[in-house]
Amino acid sequence: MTRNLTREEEEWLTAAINGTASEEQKAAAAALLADEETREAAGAEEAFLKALKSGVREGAEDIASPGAMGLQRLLRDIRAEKQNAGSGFSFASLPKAGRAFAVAAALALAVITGFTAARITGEEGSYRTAGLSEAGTLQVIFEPSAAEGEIRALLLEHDLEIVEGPSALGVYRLAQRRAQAQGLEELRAVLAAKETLIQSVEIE
Amino acid sequence: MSQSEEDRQRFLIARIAAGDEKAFAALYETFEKRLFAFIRSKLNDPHEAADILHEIFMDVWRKAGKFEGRSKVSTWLMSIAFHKTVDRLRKKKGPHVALDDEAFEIADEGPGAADILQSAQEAAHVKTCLDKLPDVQRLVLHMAFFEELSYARIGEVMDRPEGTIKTRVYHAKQAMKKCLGLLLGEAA
Repeated sequence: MTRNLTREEEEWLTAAINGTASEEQKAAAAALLADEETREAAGAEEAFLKALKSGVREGAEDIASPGAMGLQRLLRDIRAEKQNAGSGFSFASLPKAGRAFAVAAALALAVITGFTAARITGEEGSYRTAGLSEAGTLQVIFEPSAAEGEIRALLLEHDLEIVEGPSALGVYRLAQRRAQAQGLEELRAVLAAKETLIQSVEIE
Repeated sequence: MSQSEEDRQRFLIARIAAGDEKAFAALYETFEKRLFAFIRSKLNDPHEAADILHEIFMDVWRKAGKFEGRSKVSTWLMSIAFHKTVDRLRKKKGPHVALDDEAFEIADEGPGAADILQSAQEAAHVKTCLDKLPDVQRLVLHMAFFEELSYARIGEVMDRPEGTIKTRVYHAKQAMKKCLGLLLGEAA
Protein backbone atom coordinates (compact mmCIF):
# COMPACT_ATOMS: atom_id res chain seq x y z
CA MET A 1 0.00 0.00 0.00
CA THR A 2 1.51 3.33 -1.03
CA ARG A 3 0.51 6.86 -0.10
CA ASN A 4 1.25 10.48 -1.00
CA LEU A 5 3.51 12.64 1.16
CA THR A 6 2.22 15.21 3.61
CA ARG A 7 3.37 18.82 3.31
CA GLU A 8 5.63 18.39 6.31
CA GLU A 9 7.25 15.34 4.76
CA GLU A 10 7.83 17.29 1.54
CA GLU A 11 9.50 20.02 3.64
CA TRP A 12 11.94 17.47 5.08
CA LEU A 13 12.92 16.41 1.59
CA THR A 14 13.28 20.03 0.45
CA ALA A 15 15.55 20.78 3.41
CA ALA A 16 17.57 17.65 2.68
CA ILE A 17 18.07 18.68 -0.97
CA ASN A 18 19.05 22.30 -0.24
CA GLY A 19 21.40 21.25 2.55
CA THR A 20 19.64 22.99 5.43
CA ALA A 21 18.07 19.92 7.09
CA SER A 22 18.69 19.21 10.74
CA GLU A 23 19.92 15.74 11.72
CA GLU A 24 16.32 14.81 12.62
CA GLN A 25 15.00 16.00 9.27
CA LYS A 26 17.74 14.12 7.42
CA ALA A 27 16.82 10.93 9.23
CA ALA A 28 13.13 11.49 8.55
CA ALA A 29 13.80 12.11 4.84
CA ALA A 30 15.92 8.95 4.63
CA ALA A 31 13.13 6.97 6.30
CA LEU A 32 10.59 8.26 3.74
CA LEU A 33 12.84 7.06 0.92
CA ALA A 34 13.25 3.65 2.54
CA ASP A 35 9.69 3.00 3.72
CA GLU A 36 7.69 0.84 1.35
CA GLU A 37 4.61 2.98 1.89
CA THR A 38 6.26 6.28 0.93
CA ARG A 39 9.24 5.15 -1.19
CA GLU A 40 7.62 5.84 -4.55
CA ALA A 41 6.25 9.29 -3.70
CA ALA A 42 9.41 10.32 -1.85
CA GLY A 43 11.62 9.16 -4.72
CA ALA A 44 9.56 11.16 -7.23
CA GLU A 45 9.62 14.25 -5.00
CA GLU A 46 13.37 13.93 -4.49
CA ALA A 47 13.98 13.66 -8.25
CA PHE A 48 11.70 16.65 -8.88
CA LEU A 49 13.52 18.74 -6.26
CA LYS A 50 16.92 17.84 -7.73
CA ALA A 51 15.76 18.87 -11.21
CA LEU A 52 14.32 22.09 -9.78
CA LYS A 53 17.54 22.88 -7.93
CA SER A 54 19.57 22.20 -11.04
CA GLY A 55 17.28 24.47 -13.11
CA VAL A 56 17.44 27.34 -10.59
CA ARG A 57 21.22 27.09 -10.30
CA GLU A 58 21.80 26.81 -14.04
CA GLY A 59 19.83 29.98 -14.74
CA ALA A 60 21.51 31.95 -11.95
CA GLU A 61 25.08 30.88 -12.66
CA ASP A 62 24.86 31.92 -16.31
CA ILE A 63 24.25 35.56 -15.42
CA ALA A 64 27.03 38.05 -16.17
CA SER A 65 27.28 40.58 -13.34
CA PRO A 66 28.65 44.17 -13.50
CA GLY A 67 31.90 43.03 -11.84
CA ALA A 68 34.81 45.46 -11.73
CA MET A 69 32.94 48.11 -13.71
CA GLY A 70 30.23 48.17 -11.07
CA LEU A 71 32.84 48.59 -8.34
CA GLN A 72 34.51 51.46 -10.19
CA ARG A 73 31.18 53.23 -10.51
CA LEU A 74 30.54 52.75 -6.78
CA LEU A 75 33.95 54.02 -5.74
CA ARG A 76 33.54 57.05 -7.96
CA ASP A 77 30.16 57.82 -6.37
CA ILE A 78 31.26 57.32 -2.78
CA ARG A 79 34.29 59.56 -3.38
CA ALA A 80 31.98 62.20 -4.83
CA GLU A 81 29.80 61.85 -1.73
CA LYS A 82 32.81 62.24 0.54
CA GLN A 83 33.85 65.31 -1.41
CA ASN A 84 30.38 66.79 -1.15
CA ALA A 85 30.21 66.00 2.56
CA GLY A 86 33.60 67.64 3.03
CA SER A 87 32.54 70.81 1.25
CA GLY A 88 29.17 70.79 2.97
CA PHE A 89 27.62 71.07 -0.48
CA SER A 90 25.09 68.77 -2.09
CA PHE A 91 23.92 69.45 -5.62
CA ALA A 92 20.85 67.29 -5.11
CA SER A 93 19.83 69.26 -2.05
CA LEU A 94 19.60 72.52 -3.97
CA PRO A 95 16.21 73.76 -5.15
CA LYS A 96 15.76 73.70 -8.91
CA ALA A 97 16.56 77.40 -9.33
CA GLY A 98 19.65 76.93 -7.18
CA ARG A 99 20.72 73.99 -9.30
CA ALA A 100 20.42 76.03 -12.47
CA PHE A 101 22.59 78.72 -10.90
CA ALA A 102 25.11 76.11 -9.76
CA VAL A 103 25.24 74.62 -13.25
CA ALA A 104 25.72 78.05 -14.82
CA ALA A 105 28.44 78.88 -12.28
CA ALA A 106 30.17 75.57 -12.91
CA LEU A 107 30.08 76.09 -16.65
CA ALA A 108 31.37 79.65 -16.35
CA LEU A 109 34.16 78.47 -14.08
CA ALA A 110 35.02 75.64 -16.44
CA VAL A 111 35.20 78.04 -19.41
CA ILE A 112 37.41 80.50 -17.52
CA THR A 113 39.62 77.66 -16.26
CA GLY A 114 39.87 76.25 -19.77
CA PHE A 115 40.94 79.58 -21.26
CA THR A 116 43.45 80.19 -18.48
CA ALA A 117 44.92 76.71 -18.80
CA ALA A 118 45.19 77.07 -22.57
CA ARG A 119 46.98 80.39 -22.20
CA ILE A 120 49.39 79.06 -19.60
CA THR A 121 50.22 75.78 -21.29
CA GLY A 122 49.63 76.70 -24.87
CA GLU A 123 47.87 73.38 -25.27
CA GLU A 124 44.30 72.39 -25.81
CA GLY A 125 42.74 69.40 -24.13
CA SER A 126 46.11 68.02 -23.09
CA TYR A 127 44.61 65.26 -20.88
CA ARG A 128 42.48 63.75 -23.62
CA THR A 129 42.73 60.04 -24.20
CA ALA A 130 44.77 59.14 -27.28
CA GLY A 131 42.57 58.50 -30.27
CA LEU A 132 39.76 60.80 -29.18
CA SER A 133 38.52 63.38 -31.59
CA GLU A 134 40.11 66.81 -31.45
CA ALA A 135 36.76 68.36 -32.27
CA GLY A 136 36.22 69.49 -28.66
CA THR A 137 34.35 68.28 -25.64
CA LEU A 138 30.90 68.65 -24.19
CA GLN A 139 30.01 69.41 -20.60
CA VAL A 140 26.99 67.41 -19.62
CA ILE A 141 24.85 67.03 -16.51
CA PHE A 142 22.62 63.99 -16.55
CA GLU A 143 19.20 63.91 -14.95
CA PRO A 144 19.42 62.31 -11.49
CA SER A 145 16.77 59.80 -12.60
CA ALA A 146 18.79 58.63 -15.65
CA ALA A 147 19.73 54.98 -15.29
CA GLU A 148 23.25 53.74 -15.98
CA GLY A 149 22.00 51.59 -18.84
CA GLU A 150 20.34 54.54 -20.54
CA ILE A 151 23.47 56.65 -20.22
CA ARG A 152 25.65 53.84 -21.56
CA ALA A 153 23.32 53.36 -24.54
CA LEU A 154 23.43 57.09 -25.28
CA LEU A 155 27.24 57.16 -25.18
CA LEU A 156 27.47 54.16 -27.48
CA GLU A 157 24.90 55.58 -29.89
CA HIS A 158 26.92 58.77 -30.37
CA ASP A 159 30.36 57.19 -29.98
CA LEU A 160 31.09 59.31 -26.94
CA GLU A 161 33.44 58.68 -24.06
CA ILE A 162 33.56 60.17 -20.57
CA VAL A 163 36.95 61.89 -20.30
CA GLU A 164 36.34 63.45 -16.90
CA GLY A 165 33.77 63.49 -14.15
CA PRO A 166 31.52 63.49 -12.44
CA SER A 167 32.64 66.61 -10.64
CA ALA A 168 31.19 67.49 -7.25
CA LEU A 169 28.47 69.30 -9.16
CA GLY A 170 27.73 66.24 -11.29
CA VAL A 171 29.34 67.65 -14.44
CA TYR A 172 30.80 65.17 -16.95
CA ARG A 173 33.10 65.98 -19.85
CA LEU A 174 32.37 63.91 -22.93
CA ALA A 175 34.43 63.62 -26.12
CA GLN A 176 33.73 61.94 -29.43
CA ARG A 177 35.95 58.91 -29.90
CA ARG A 178 36.55 59.79 -33.55
CA ALA A 179 35.84 62.81 -35.73
CA GLN A 180 32.23 62.51 -36.84
CA ALA A 181 30.37 63.85 -39.82
CA GLN A 182 27.98 65.20 -37.25
CA GLY A 183 29.35 68.53 -35.96
CA LEU A 184 29.67 69.25 -32.28
CA GLU A 185 26.90 71.85 -32.35
CA GLU A 186 24.58 69.39 -34.06
CA LEU A 187 25.48 66.75 -31.49
CA ARG A 188 24.85 69.22 -28.67
CA ALA A 189 21.37 69.89 -30.06
CA VAL A 190 20.63 66.17 -30.34
CA LEU A 191 21.71 65.58 -26.75
CA ALA A 192 19.86 68.64 -25.47
CA ALA A 193 16.68 67.16 -26.91
CA LYS A 194 17.06 64.10 -24.66
CA GLU A 195 15.28 65.87 -21.85
CA THR A 196 14.57 62.78 -19.79
CA LEU A 197 18.28 61.92 -19.64
CA ILE A 198 20.15 65.18 -19.87
CA GLN A 199 19.67 68.23 -17.72
CA SER A 200 22.26 70.42 -19.40
CA VAL A 201 24.74 70.16 -22.28
CA GLU A 202 27.23 72.77 -23.45
CA ILE A 203 30.13 72.82 -25.86
CA GLU A 204 33.33 73.44 -24.00
CA MET B 1 29.58 29.16 5.69
CA SER B 2 32.26 28.95 8.39
CA GLN B 3 32.27 31.15 11.48
CA SER B 4 35.58 32.66 10.37
CA GLU B 5 34.01 33.77 7.07
CA GLU B 6 31.10 35.37 8.95
CA ASP B 7 33.63 37.06 11.26
CA ARG B 8 35.56 38.33 8.23
CA GLN B 9 32.37 39.80 6.75
CA ARG B 10 31.48 41.49 10.05
CA PHE B 11 34.98 42.91 10.23
CA LEU B 12 34.59 44.28 6.70
CA ILE B 13 31.32 45.96 7.67
CA ALA B 14 33.01 47.56 10.68
CA ARG B 15 35.84 48.83 8.45
CA ILE B 16 33.35 50.17 5.90
CA ALA B 17 31.59 52.05 8.69
CA ALA B 18 34.97 53.69 9.34
CA GLY B 19 35.23 54.72 5.67
CA ASP B 20 37.61 52.00 4.44
CA GLU B 21 37.28 51.69 0.64
CA LYS B 22 39.40 48.52 0.47
CA ALA B 23 37.02 46.78 2.87
CA PHE B 24 34.13 48.01 0.73
CA ALA B 25 35.76 46.54 -2.40
CA ALA B 26 36.34 43.23 -0.59
CA LEU B 27 32.71 43.01 0.52
CA TYR B 28 31.59 43.90 -3.01
CA GLU B 29 33.71 41.12 -4.46
CA THR B 30 32.31 38.65 -1.93
CA PHE B 31 28.64 39.37 -2.60
CA GLU B 32 28.31 41.10 -5.96
CA LYS B 33 27.60 38.01 -8.07
CA ARG B 34 25.21 36.46 -5.55
CA LEU B 35 23.23 39.63 -5.10
CA PHE B 36 23.10 40.30 -8.82
CA ALA B 37 21.81 36.77 -9.50
CA PHE B 38 19.25 37.31 -6.74
CA ILE B 39 18.01 40.55 -8.32
CA ARG B 40 17.99 39.03 -11.81
CA SER B 41 15.82 36.18 -10.55
CA LYS B 42 13.08 38.81 -10.41
CA LEU B 43 14.12 41.39 -12.99
CA ASN B 44 14.93 40.52 -16.56
CA ASP B 45 16.54 43.84 -17.43
CA PRO B 46 20.30 43.62 -16.67
CA HIS B 47 20.69 47.43 -16.66
CA GLU B 48 17.95 47.83 -14.11
CA ALA B 49 19.42 45.02 -12.05
CA ALA B 50 22.83 46.75 -12.18
CA ASP B 51 21.22 49.97 -10.94
CA ILE B 52 19.67 48.15 -7.99
CA LEU B 53 22.97 46.47 -7.18
CA HIS B 54 24.56 49.92 -7.20
CA GLU B 55 21.88 51.25 -4.84
CA ILE B 56 22.38 48.30 -2.47
CA PHE B 57 26.10 48.90 -2.14
CA MET B 58 25.64 52.66 -1.80
CA ASP B 59 23.29 51.84 1.10
CA VAL B 60 25.93 49.54 2.56
CA TRP B 61 28.47 52.36 2.37
CA ARG B 62 26.10 54.81 4.03
CA LYS B 63 24.53 52.48 6.60
CA ALA B 64 27.32 50.09 7.59
CA GLY B 65 27.54 51.86 10.95
CA LYS B 66 23.94 50.93 11.65
CA PHE B 67 24.47 47.19 11.15
CA GLU B 68 23.81 45.74 14.59
CA GLY B 69 24.97 42.21 13.89
CA ARG B 70 21.67 40.62 14.89
CA SER B 71 21.53 38.77 11.56
CA LYS B 72 24.22 37.38 9.31
CA VAL B 73 25.83 39.88 6.95
CA SER B 74 24.50 37.93 3.95
CA THR B 75 20.96 38.04 5.36
CA TRP B 76 21.22 41.78 5.90
CA LEU B 77 22.43 42.32 2.33
CA MET B 78 19.80 40.07 0.81
CA SER B 79 17.12 41.78 2.82
CA ILE B 80 18.19 45.16 1.37
CA ALA B 81 18.26 43.57 -2.09
CA PHE B 82 14.83 42.04 -1.63
CA HIS B 83 13.14 45.26 -0.55
CA LYS B 84 14.80 47.37 -3.23
CA THR B 85 13.83 44.88 -5.91
CA VAL B 86 10.23 44.73 -4.73
CA ASP B 87 10.12 48.55 -4.62
CA ARG B 88 11.35 48.66 -8.22
CA LEU B 89 8.79 46.09 -9.30
CA ARG B 90 6.04 48.10 -7.63
CA LYS B 91 7.16 51.22 -9.49
CA LYS B 92 7.06 49.30 -12.77
CA LYS B 93 4.01 47.15 -12.25
CA GLY B 94 2.07 49.19 -9.71
CA PRO B 95 1.27 48.53 -6.06
CA HIS B 96 -0.44 45.23 -6.86
CA VAL B 97 2.90 43.35 -6.78
CA ALA B 98 1.96 40.79 -4.18
CA LEU B 99 4.05 39.69 -1.25
CA ASP B 100 1.44 37.53 0.40
CA ASP B 101 0.35 34.12 -0.66
CA GLU B 102 -3.33 34.90 -0.60
CA ALA B 103 -2.82 36.78 -3.84
CA PHE B 104 -1.35 33.80 -5.65
CA GLU B 105 -3.25 31.28 -7.57
CA ILE B 106 -2.86 27.92 -5.86
CA ALA B 107 -2.35 25.08 -8.27
CA ASP B 108 -5.33 22.77 -8.46
CA GLU B 109 -5.15 19.02 -8.97
CA GLY B 110 -2.14 18.66 -11.22
CA PRO B 111 -0.60 16.06 -13.50
CA GLY B 112 0.81 12.76 -12.25
CA ALA B 113 4.23 12.38 -10.67
CA ALA B 114 5.63 10.43 -13.62
CA ASP B 115 4.67 13.18 -16.09
CA ILE B 116 6.14 15.87 -13.86
CA LEU B 117 9.38 13.98 -13.53
CA GLN B 118 9.67 13.33 -17.23
CA SER B 119 9.12 17.02 -17.95
CA ALA B 120 11.49 18.13 -15.17
CA GLN B 121 14.33 16.24 -16.81
CA GLU B 122 14.13 18.77 -19.69
CA ALA B 123 16.19 21.76 -18.53
CA ALA B 124 14.33 24.01 -20.97
CA HIS B 125 11.00 23.03 -19.40
CA VAL B 126 12.26 23.89 -15.94
CA LYS B 127 13.56 27.25 -17.15
CA THR B 128 10.32 28.08 -18.96
CA CYS B 129 8.27 27.27 -15.87
CA LEU B 130 10.58 29.23 -13.55
CA ASP B 131 10.17 32.25 -15.83
CA LYS B 132 6.39 31.93 -15.63
CA LEU B 133 6.24 31.90 -11.85
CA PRO B 134 5.00 34.97 -9.98
CA ASP B 135 7.91 37.15 -8.84
CA VAL B 136 7.86 36.19 -5.20
CA GLN B 137 7.54 32.46 -5.86
CA ARG B 138 10.56 32.62 -8.20
CA LEU B 139 12.46 34.48 -5.52
CA VAL B 140 11.80 31.99 -2.72
CA LEU B 141 12.90 29.14 -4.98
CA HIS B 142 16.07 31.08 -5.78
CA MET B 143 16.76 31.57 -2.08
CA ALA B 144 15.97 27.94 -1.23
CA PHE B 145 17.86 26.24 -4.06
CA PHE B 146 20.55 28.70 -5.21
CA GLU B 147 21.38 30.46 -1.96
CA GLU B 148 20.53 27.28 -0.05
CA LEU B 149 18.92 29.24 2.76
CA SER B 150 16.75 27.63 5.40
CA TYR B 151 13.11 28.62 5.72
CA ALA B 152 13.99 30.63 8.82
CA ARG B 153 16.64 32.69 7.03
CA ILE B 154 14.42 33.28 4.00
CA GLY B 155 11.88 34.58 6.52
CA GLU B 156 14.47 37.01 7.90
CA VAL B 157 15.29 38.29 4.42
CA MET B 158 11.63 38.77 3.49
CA ASP B 159 10.56 39.88 6.93
CA ARG B 160 7.91 37.15 7.11
CA PRO B 161 7.29 34.30 9.59
CA GLU B 162 8.87 30.94 8.83
CA GLY B 163 5.43 29.38 8.40
CA THR B 164 4.63 31.83 5.61
CA ILE B 165 7.85 30.91 3.83
CA LYS B 166 7.02 27.20 4.06
CA THR B 167 3.64 27.88 2.48
CA ARG B 168 5.26 30.01 -0.19
CA VAL B 169 7.80 27.34 -1.14
CA TYR B 170 5.05 24.75 -1.19
CA HIS B 171 2.91 26.87 -3.53
CA ALA B 172 5.91 27.59 -5.75
CA LYS B 173 6.61 23.87 -6.07
CA GLN B 174 2.97 23.13 -6.83
CA ALA B 175 2.95 25.81 -9.53
CA MET B 176 6.12 24.35 -11.03
CA LYS B 177 4.63 20.87 -11.07
CA LYS B 178 1.48 22.08 -12.76
CA CYS B 179 3.46 24.02 -15.37
CA LEU B 180 5.83 21.10 -16.06
CA GLY B 181 2.88 18.78 -16.56
CA LEU B 182 1.26 21.20 -18.98
CA LEU B 183 4.47 21.61 -20.97
CA LEU B 184 4.80 17.86 -21.34
CA GLY B 185 1.22 17.76 -22.60
CA GLU B 186 2.01 20.45 -25.18
CA ALA B 187 5.15 18.62 -26.33
CA ALA B 188 3.32 15.32 -26.75
